[in-house]
Amino acid sequence: MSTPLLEDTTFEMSLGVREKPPSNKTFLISLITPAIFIFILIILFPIIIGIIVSFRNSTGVTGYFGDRFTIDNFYWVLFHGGVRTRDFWQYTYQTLFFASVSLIIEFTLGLMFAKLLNKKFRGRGLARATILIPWALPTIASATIFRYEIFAPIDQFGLLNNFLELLSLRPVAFFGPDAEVLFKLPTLVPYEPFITEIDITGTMFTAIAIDVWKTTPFLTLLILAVLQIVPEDLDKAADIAGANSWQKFRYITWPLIKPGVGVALVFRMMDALRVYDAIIVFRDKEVRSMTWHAVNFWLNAQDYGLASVVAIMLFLFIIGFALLILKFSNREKETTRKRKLKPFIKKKEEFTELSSNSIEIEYDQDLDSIPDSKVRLKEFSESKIKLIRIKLILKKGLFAVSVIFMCLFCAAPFIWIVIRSFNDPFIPQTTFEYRNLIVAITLFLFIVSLFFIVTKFLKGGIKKIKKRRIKRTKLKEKKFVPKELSYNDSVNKLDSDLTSFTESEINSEEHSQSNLVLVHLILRLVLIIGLVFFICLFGIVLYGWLNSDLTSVGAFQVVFETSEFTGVSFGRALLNGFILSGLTVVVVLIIGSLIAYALAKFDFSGKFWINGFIFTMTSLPPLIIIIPFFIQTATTSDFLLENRVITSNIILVLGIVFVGLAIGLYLQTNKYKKKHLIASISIILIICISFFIFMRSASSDLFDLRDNIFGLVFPYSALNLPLAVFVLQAFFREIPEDLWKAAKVDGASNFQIFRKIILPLTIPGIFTVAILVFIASWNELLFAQIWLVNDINHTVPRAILRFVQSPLSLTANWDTDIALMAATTISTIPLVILVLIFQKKIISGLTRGAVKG
Amino acid sequence: MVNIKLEKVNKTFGSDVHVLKNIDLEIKDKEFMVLVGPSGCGKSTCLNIIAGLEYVTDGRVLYDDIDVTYLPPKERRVAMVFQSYALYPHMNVRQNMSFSLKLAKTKKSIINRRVKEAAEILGISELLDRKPKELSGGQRQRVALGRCIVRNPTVFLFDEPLSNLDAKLRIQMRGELIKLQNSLKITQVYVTHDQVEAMSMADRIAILFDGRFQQIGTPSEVYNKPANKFVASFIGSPSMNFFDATFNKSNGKQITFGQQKYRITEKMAQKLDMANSENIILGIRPEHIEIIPDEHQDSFKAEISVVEFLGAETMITFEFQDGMNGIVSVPGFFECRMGDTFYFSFPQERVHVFDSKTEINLLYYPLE
Repeated sequence: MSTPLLEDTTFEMSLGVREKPPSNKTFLISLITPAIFIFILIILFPIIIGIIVSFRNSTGVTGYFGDRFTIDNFYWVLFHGGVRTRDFWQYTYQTLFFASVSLIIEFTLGLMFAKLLNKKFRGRGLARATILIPWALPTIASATIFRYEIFAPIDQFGLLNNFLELLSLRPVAFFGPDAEVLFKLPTLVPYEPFITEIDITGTMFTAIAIDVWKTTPFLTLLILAVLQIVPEDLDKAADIAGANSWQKFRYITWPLIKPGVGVALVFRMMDALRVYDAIIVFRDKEVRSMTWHAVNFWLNAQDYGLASVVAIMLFLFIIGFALLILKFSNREKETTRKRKLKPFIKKKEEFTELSSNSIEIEYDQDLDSIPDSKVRLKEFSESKIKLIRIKLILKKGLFAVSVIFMCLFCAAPFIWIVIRSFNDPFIPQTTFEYRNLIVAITLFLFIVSLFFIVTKFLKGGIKKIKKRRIKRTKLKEKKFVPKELSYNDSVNKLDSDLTSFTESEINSEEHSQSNLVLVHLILRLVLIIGLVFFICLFGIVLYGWLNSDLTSVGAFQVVFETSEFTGVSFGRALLNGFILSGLTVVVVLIIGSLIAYALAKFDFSGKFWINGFIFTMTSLPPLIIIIPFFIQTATTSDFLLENRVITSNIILVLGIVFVGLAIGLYLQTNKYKKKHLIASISIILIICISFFIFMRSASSDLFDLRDNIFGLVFPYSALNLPLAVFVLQAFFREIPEDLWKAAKVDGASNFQIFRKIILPLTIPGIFTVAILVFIASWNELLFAQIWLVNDINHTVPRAILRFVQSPLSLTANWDTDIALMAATTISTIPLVILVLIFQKKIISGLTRGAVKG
Repeated sequence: MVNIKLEKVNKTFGSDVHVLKNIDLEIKDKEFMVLVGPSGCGKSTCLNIIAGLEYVTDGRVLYDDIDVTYLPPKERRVAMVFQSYALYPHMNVRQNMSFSLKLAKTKKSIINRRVKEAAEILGISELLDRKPKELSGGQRQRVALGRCIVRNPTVFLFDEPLSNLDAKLRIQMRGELIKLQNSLKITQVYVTHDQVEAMSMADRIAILFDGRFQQIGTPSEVYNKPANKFVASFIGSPSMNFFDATFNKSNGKQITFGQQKYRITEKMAQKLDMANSENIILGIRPEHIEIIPDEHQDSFKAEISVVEFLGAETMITFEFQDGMNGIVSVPGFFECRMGDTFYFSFPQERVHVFDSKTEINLLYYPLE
């Protein structure tokens, strides 16, 4: 029988005989080039320029490159012994102190949180989402809020101090005795000896607290990712071996996660050492970080050479610390780790063997050798089961308490911000408003109870009742079976007793079976009614609060008003931030996905070097590139301004074509060709329109990249590129090799495979990267502060800073704190909602990235 | 539909991993060729070279005498079924099947017709709008086959396509693949590590080990006349029994292994004599050992050390007095117990003799 389908084809060749295998070289080059380009432009050039500048006598007077070679900069900063040297070592010491203390606290908290979140419990999604909140807030905003709201002295209505007073405890001066450091402008510090002791009750304490609050979530996520590599079986095996939770952690989890945690700590260390946002808020000349020190040299003293020296020193410090931690975490050799794990692995094997029935004979013999096993087990179950139950309940309670603490830790400041931003800014507050506190607590309870109603009673409840019913009927059938517990059964029973005692209750009290479900139902009903009642109560409280004299939307009006004090309205900053972050996301996604694909799927000779570049990008303090990059940009801008007519036309046309092509390529898949075409066209149109609106209203020249958000797109992309590459690489690696081969056999070209197979499958990863990059560039301050001088070009964090830093805020006739809160609320609520909705994707995306990247 | 030839193909990875060592292979038109071998023997590499997914380090690949050595799979127009099926998870069955045609810019009407026909042949017409994750293992297998059929390929390549299925489904799909081969009449190359699969499906089997083809032949050839010890041990389950033995012309027509002596025919003796090797390996398959009720001059006596009852047959591990042991397979109704002694003989025509150094089968391939 022959089918009509397969005509008898002979093989014909349209092409001539090839002498060499077709190579992927062109494709690879096109994948790698953009990233290399960015690397050279943003990282390599600036570093070289930075080193050059540090050896020139470059100041505000002599220009960026000065007029002669000198090593004075290094001499002044490192060895001279005068004010500058003292300052440098003082601030270096402080930075190191800050980094190590906050790292230790963050690590402990992060480990605890990660352990909590790694367990499965109802509401884990919400808990995971809440820990992402601090991370979505701009550091500058959270720092300001901690400074002016939460840790403020009692007469400035600080939340914590008033809370302490309420509990009739002594208030704490979180900034040391002198609270009025705000308007002490950073001046040259008179010569003083090097101070080794740091007043940890003062600014340093608050700075560390801010940093801990802000970055613990990130560390938690990283550790959570590392925890995923611990196989569950190993845990069970340890249970069987009789290890308690501490032993389990010490001998199983810790050795396994140690290397991964080491890497996570390195990342955090790098971040902590280049701290800037969390400290600048205090304007306390006694407490400064190295980054701030360098920025101070740059902006105030205009000592470019000195600033470069500090930046280079910071870079060296970071590399040193990274190596140190990595070495420390890898100190224990593989063999010793395995030796420690050995008994557990053995137990694991035994466990898996036990669970299969294959060795029943041996099992019986085992039973024979323990003659009294039945009796002993029974005794155990009767005498100790109650104790175990109590222990379990206690454990559960502890667990719940720690989860609630965690959620409070992360969410409370944010809730406080939101509440405060609804206060009326035009009524000066003379006393601390406890109403706000009450409302905040109410809001928290409201959200939690609402959540429980939704999940527990509506979703899970019905299922559970059904399950119970099935169980009950099964038990009834079992009733007449004579009860003979074998060893196996009793073990099983004990196991089930331990895991859920409600079940064992049903088992033991079989006579009250029929009533039990009814009792449960009634209990449930009562709980629902109670919760609904509570929600109504909370609603009334909230309603009352909203209608009281305390609340108004005045703060929001102030924020959006254009006035002498706020300069340009906050809306402008939002638009700027949106354009800048959006463009950064697009650039990072295009370049990052290309290079990540090359690294994940191809072997080529330069791979080692490219990985090296990417690691350099992560470890680099932005500071080291920011100064030289500014110089580079300034030179470019001058050139562009001279040839403006030609360049303007070229850039406009090229930009629109490039963005259009890129978006078109990204979105177009076979299935929805037209739909995506329309989508991409509309996106291009939106970008063009916003571009032109921006052009119209821009105060500065578009080609003057010095004070221009477009000048920031590339540095932002470069800084976010490594993260994108890590996450996307992991996603690409997860695509099975066979799929790639299949597409190849189906006749797809390299680029077709990438576009039609690989990209559609990694959409979750792309999405994760987009959100991460958007948040990071939305919240970036350091670059924005050096770049964006004019009010009209400010991004969100820069604009937030305007509400607190400007001396004019003294003359404002409204409460600047509340305006600040409102600005923060506006800028973060969209991000927080975004994070809350997509928390699953973000966490899984990051987890995969960290484990495999 | 094509005749495939590999000529002196070498493949190395890096400088020290030599996967394929100067292999030659001819796959005839409309033939079902199975490449079989233990894992890591290079059979998948060989298949990839035939497909064009990897390229040779040295040597030539010919399709119908046209040199395709360095052509990509697209231009060889091959079709391939993978172990994991490699269905595109984001496309439904129809899109999966028509992807290659779409890339080749085939007209829509033709695509639709071919997809429909292929789906009918495989009985998956109702599944066309489903996504791969909504399909069972067997259905996925069929879609993967369908994806190949629609292309009108020059050759079908299979890379362990059945190893992801459970045992029952595997046997069923095996039957269907054989049926499909009979109706399609197309050149097919099939890679597997499962010798049962290889034996049951192949027109010819190529046994690959250590980068070389140990033997290429029909299933009956490789079973009855294994070229060397490796083939003999790899084909057949349970594996052939091997006994280290010696053959000395001066001792007459007999092979000595341990304390046992085995008389051989004149013809065999001549062959062994020609090979001129004293240390040899005597091999016999468990199913070819004959159990006899009483002792006679050609019988051996051994003690039963393990009995494995498998239903239709029973595997008995026996032990000679000198400690040498082997396996014999007997029908399931044979009754025996551990510790019993029994007698058996090796039929002359079923015995294999290998050189102990080169491991070549001296009886069938004496000249090599």
